[in-house]
Amino acid sequence: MTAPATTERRPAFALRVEGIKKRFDRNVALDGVSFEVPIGSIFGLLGPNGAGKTTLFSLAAGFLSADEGSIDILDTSVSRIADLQGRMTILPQDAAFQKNVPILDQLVFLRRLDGRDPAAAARDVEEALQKVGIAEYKKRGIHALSHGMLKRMGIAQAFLGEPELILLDEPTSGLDPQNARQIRDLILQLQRERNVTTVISSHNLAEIQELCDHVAILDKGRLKACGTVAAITRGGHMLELELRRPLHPDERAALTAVPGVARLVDRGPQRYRVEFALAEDQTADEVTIAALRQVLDLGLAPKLVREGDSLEETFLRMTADQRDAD
Amino acid sequence: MDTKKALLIARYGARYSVRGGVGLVFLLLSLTFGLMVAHLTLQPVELLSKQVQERMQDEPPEKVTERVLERLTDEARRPVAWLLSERTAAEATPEQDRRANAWAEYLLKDRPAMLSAIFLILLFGWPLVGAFGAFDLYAGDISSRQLRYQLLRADRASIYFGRLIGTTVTFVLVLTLLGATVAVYMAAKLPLYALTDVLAWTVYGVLALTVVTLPYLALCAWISASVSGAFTSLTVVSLVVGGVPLVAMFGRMSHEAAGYVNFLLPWGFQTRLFHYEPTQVALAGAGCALQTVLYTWLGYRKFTRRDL
Repeated sequence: MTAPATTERRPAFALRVEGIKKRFDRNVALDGVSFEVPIGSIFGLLGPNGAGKTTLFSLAAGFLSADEGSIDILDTSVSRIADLQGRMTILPQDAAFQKNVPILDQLVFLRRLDGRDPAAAARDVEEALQKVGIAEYKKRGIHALSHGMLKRMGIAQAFLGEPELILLDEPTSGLDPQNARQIRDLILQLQRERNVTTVISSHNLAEIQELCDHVAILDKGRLKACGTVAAITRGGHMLELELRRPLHPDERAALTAVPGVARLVDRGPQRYRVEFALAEDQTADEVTIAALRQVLDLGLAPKLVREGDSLEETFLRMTADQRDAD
Repeated sequence: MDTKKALLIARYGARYSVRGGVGLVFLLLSLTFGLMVAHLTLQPVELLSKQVQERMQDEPPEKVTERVLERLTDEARRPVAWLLSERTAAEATPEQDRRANAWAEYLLKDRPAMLSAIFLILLFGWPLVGAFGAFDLYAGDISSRQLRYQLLRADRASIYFGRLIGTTVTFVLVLTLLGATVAVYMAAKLPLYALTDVLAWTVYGVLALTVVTLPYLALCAWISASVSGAFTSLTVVSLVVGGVPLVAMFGRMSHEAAGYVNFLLPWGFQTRLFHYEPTQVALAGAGCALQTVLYTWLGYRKFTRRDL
């Protein structure tokens, strides 16, 4: 006799935000934001200060309730947040730990709330503290930790257990470059080994570009863009070039004369942005190839070629639009 | 609610409450208050005992003790009767006087008088002392957002009731410690009563104080769950707990009905837990239970619906 086939339904999205609105008194923190975070992705949430990133995290974690709209996490409505226990963790941006209680005891308590017995909880916590590099402080209170160490303690807390979704609100702010790198590696490792979905908010755009495959850009409570990093940065139709030497005026003129190239912008001593103005029958790829061919014909081998905007440029352009409109 | 998680939160809360500054202040304040009350109550009795002993040097010790207790009852009857009087107007009716005297007689003659006096004074001060131990049940951790680390691991009901249970356990432990200290202090300083009588009345007194504590704790939980910030919570709790009897007292001067404000909290009936009539004790207990349920529910409702 064969056992009946069981079909374990995989959630369609790790996080689905639909028409979410939240206001604090007269301030509109989020105004009809909608986007989806694919399962197994590392998703970056970008936005200037006051854009609504932390509010969005707080709504997704059930700390706050939305005025309008809905949030589903792993196919479960956030209104039933209790059903998600153990499946989602968060590093809240500005939450404090308890004073006068050893770090180990605090984290063991949190891990025990996940249902682990004391010995297993202690083992898990030790492992997490090792990962973030503060294991030697485990018997001390939080007064012994610097700002960066406290941040790492928060990250250790978020990495406890086997969550399917981790929300990290500015995880590397205040960390030195080595520790920031260590945290980024841990996030990538979790994605690789366990297909964990991570949503990160950060002001470090280079970090987001390096780490994330998807991003959403928020500004003043509104969604400005959402999609893969490649799709969002491709929108500008341009080519970034870094050469071994500066271009002479005649070489600049030759490059600008390539059909489909609108202008050449200096971005540094040997860096240029080639902006496109595509004709109806042209594709961005054709202009890219023609421009690169021209550079090679000039006897220059580019050190770095990147198609489209950097995330930083896209971000600045999108958020500047709003500022200009205001 | 997940009972296992609630109990884990309660255990953790009770374990670490004293380590936090507020918990330690509460413990020290409770013991200082209890011992101060015991000391101030016993001091005049000690003086009285010495006087009687000097006058009755040739009498056997039992006779001396008997005389001391007689004098003590005579001296204390009037103030205790005044304290327990159920009068609603400035002047008590003869029936109210008779009942107050019978009640005072019960507390001073049938029970160890000194312990009765100590418990009555504790009953008036304990709600305010207790407020210091419970005002920060949630408010401080809401403002520091410390609760956010727990919110994805335990449902709000488990957190709310877990913390409440933990604080209740701490209060019961502190009250037991307080009762034991007062009993030992009294037995050592003024051995006028049989040890079994002292122990039995101490156990009853601690139980009665615990019953009175519950509605105040529930009230503190409601206020603490409704505001953001420990200081705001302390201010509101102090104003409500201390303000209700003051409003009732001063309000009664102009409107007789203002006295009923006292019944918003156990102030209006809490002394009846030491009444000689079991029905009065049962009614007072039921009043405390009712207010505990009401304030706990209001707090729970607020905590589970608010932004944290």
